[in-house]
Amino acid sequence: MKQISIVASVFKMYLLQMIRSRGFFVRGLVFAPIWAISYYYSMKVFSPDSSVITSKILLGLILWIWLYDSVWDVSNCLSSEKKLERIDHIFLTERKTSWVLGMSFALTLFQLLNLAVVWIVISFLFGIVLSANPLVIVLLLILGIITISSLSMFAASLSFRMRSHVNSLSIILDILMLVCGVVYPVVLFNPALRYLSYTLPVTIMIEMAGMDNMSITSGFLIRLAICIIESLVLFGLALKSIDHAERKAMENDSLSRH
Amino acid sequence: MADIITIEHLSRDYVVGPGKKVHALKDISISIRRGEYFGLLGPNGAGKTTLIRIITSLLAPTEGDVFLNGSRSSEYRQQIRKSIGVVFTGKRSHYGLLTANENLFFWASLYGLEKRVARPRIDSLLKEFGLSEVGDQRTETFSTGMLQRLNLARALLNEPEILILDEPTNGLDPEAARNIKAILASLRKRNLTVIYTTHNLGDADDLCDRVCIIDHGELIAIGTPSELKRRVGKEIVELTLEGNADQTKETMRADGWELTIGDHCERFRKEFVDFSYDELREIERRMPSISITNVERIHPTLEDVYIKITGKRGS
Repeated sequence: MKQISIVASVFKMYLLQMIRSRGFFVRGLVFAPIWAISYYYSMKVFSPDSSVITSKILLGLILWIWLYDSVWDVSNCLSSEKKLERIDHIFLTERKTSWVLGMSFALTLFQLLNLAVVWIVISFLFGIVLSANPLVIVLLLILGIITISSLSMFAASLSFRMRSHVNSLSIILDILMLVCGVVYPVVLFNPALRYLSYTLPVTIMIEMAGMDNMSITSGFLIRLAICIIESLVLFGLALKSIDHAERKAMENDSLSRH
Repeated sequence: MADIITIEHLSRDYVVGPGKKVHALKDISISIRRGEYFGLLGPNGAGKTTLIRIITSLLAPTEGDVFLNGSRSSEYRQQIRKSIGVVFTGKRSHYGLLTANENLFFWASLYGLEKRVARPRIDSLLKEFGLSEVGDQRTETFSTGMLQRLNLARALLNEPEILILDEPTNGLDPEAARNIKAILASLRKRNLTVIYTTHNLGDADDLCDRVCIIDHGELIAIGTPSELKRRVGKEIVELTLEGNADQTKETMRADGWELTIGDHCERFRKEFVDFSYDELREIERRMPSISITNVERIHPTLEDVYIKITGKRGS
């Protein structure tokens, strides 16, 4: 209960800062739609006649933007906390995990706002109806939040272990993007890469979003069950990694700028 | 007084390249007593901050151990961190877009304090540090001195047994530095153990019960300021004489006194290892025509000790 209240307090504090910071919303509301629009046109070139396929891919893209931008925002916050050397004080309170989670929830919520904007831009300007079952949306949101929290904790682990973690995180997220089916359909992969791809909850989430958009129900529940299990396993591994990272930080002095 | 922190044979190496190491701390052993103000002095790069980071368990030692209340810090990290409050040099522990109240509430929640406990404690700390009036102002509008007072309030939120201050007056204007010093002196009533690193030797002299000097990662002196000053050994005694003739001057010079000319009188000064007033009585006995109108004893400062031991000048 205490942990939840700490996470809530950190969440509130970051949210307050975001609301009070000038230009923060503008950044989110401008960049995400530009990315989505350019991606939409690229897809039109490859698949000009199939609006169903395009909208399925766009749904996956919207999910991916949410996840990718949220994790990057967490990573930027971590860099800033390290640069301003507040991170030492956070470690001394022994609440680093609650802090990462609270920060991650606040930034995820902010990116959710971007998601809504992207959705509206695409629906109105291009005449594509990105319809979805409300229950599926709620499920995807919950699974997305768990996955983003896990990836945020992995990003935090990297930042605790390394003086500068940005390049490593960039490589990891780019690999994830290539194998999760948002850039290339998973069916095009060779079997080994396909299995690897399906070990990521985000691959299944993207697939589930597409299935819902195309009203395909067969195999949906099994995918949901696998996605829940994978998300929870990922979350558990992330919790472990953050504790291990603290021990490494103590050995390497990687938290310090000195 | 019982020891609250015991540091035993502590060493810390940094790897700076393939096969290359820098010894930041070399075999440091110190005991810090409960309730004392302990000063940690040393030039830049001496290893003070490394030592502080190891005491706070933010950094692991290469060798040796730190014990807090008898518990090994590597084994009881969580309990140890709960009993420590830290103000690091130049480090920002506040969020500029939040008010002082919101900042302290945030840190209180991270310390796991419930709202009903945190509220009165925050009010009392803001009042104690003269920030009550600006409690609802965003901290981005605060001066450096106000931010440092807020840092101190934050460090005391969890009611620590040990307060660690890493150069708390660094970068402050003289007025703000004086305020912080006054606050630190007033904290004695809390019966805190304070570890204080500073370049300002005057502050250490005024505030600290004991000090240690570290240079190139080695502990080179430890003791009370007066013990360390005694190690420098010499005090200067300055006499103002009246009625002296040329012969008196020669006699004084022959006894090792150096003549310094004042406005209306003549002064003599001499360095003593162990001055006694018998020395003056002997002068009066030998030269009855003169009278000693003033005696001034100039004791060595901590800065003299520091310069003598490290060969470097403090601020």
